[in-house]
Amino acid sequence: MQHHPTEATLVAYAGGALPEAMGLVVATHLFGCPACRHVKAMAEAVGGSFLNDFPPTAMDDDALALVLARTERPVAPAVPIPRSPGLPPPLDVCTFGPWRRIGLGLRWRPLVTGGSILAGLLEGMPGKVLPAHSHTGMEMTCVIVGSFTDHDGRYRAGDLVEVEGTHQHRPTIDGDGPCLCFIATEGVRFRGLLGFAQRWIID
Amino acid sequence: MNALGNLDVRRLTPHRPGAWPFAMTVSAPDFAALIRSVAQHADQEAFATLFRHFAPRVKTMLMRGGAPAVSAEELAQETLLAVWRKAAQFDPEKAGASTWIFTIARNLRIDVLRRERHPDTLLPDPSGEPAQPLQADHVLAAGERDERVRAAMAMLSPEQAAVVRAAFFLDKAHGEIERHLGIPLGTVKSRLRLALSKLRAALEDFA
Repeated sequence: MQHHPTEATLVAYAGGALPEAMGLVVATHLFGCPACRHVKAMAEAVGGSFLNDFPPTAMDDDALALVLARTERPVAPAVPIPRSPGLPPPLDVCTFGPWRRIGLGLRWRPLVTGGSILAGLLEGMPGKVLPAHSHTGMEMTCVIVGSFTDHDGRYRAGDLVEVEGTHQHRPTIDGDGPCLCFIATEGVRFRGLLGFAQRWIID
Repeated sequence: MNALGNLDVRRLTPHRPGAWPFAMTVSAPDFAALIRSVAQHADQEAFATLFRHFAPRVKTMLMRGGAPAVSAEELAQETLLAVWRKAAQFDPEKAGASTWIFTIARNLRIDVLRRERHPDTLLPDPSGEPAQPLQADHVLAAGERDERVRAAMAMLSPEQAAVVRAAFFLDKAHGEIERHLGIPLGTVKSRLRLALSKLRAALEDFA
């Protein structure tokens, strides 16, 4: 694994400040990356130290009694349902819509979600070249299977690609087999890799 | 907007940095032992001690993150209820007590925001973060890691500390960090890198 989230992204993830679908992209990378898990653990310890040092705000008088009363009631532990077996955690417990062909050698499977985040699985056949496109928002991609290349390098399974600003690239699926990625992009106007997909979906 | 609502990061500043060494000389209860006692003996007294320390601080954190007092109260209660219910899952090798409780509060907050924004969503519970392979990649006494991180945070310059807080709580995707600090993205990144390398250095023999 050669491509990792930036430190700023890991810190935002630990602080809960990343949009949730982007958090899923980061979590997918973290599952296979002990080095980034270490940075995340450190950032969470920073959160623990923030928490410890906040001055207290008085709770309601009966707060402790209320919570203790609720501990009496048994709860069934929530067991995550594997909704998408075959995908790496945490994507295996996410629900995706059906695959849609979005052009020759390319298909798209949206994550069932809401809000302004567009996220989902994108699969391209070997040799597929996506048209050159640029980014204005933030977009994150984690490679699940296969690999692709752009002018910045080659991305293999587990690698996380983060693009923002006026980044321009022209990804090419370069392995022997198909390349499957999980992508999240933010903004009302979709651009980037997904903007490309989006145009196909809308057309 | 960010995961903590309309956040004024300046107000997230804990006590004056100068207060830290003093605070560290006060012997705090062994929170990890208290959580273990809750897990093993359903110890209500241990839980009450945890509650009195953490619930009011979780409430402060949420209120400074923009939550109204009523929801902050509710979520602080939920957080401590989760501490009770998940006490058996607490692993002091992986996280110190305050770090663990911080992550519970964070996940509950994300969950509440998600339900408010799009109730139909089918995203997984963020607290159900995938079970990491239990290889001993960084086995360390997490309580000590927390203590060192805390000490290293106190040693950061005010600018570095501000950038860590901003990166921690503000919405990166919308450029809130740069706007809030009034410095360009490149400077944000280099300051953050420097701050994190100091934190890392404090944990060097742990990594």
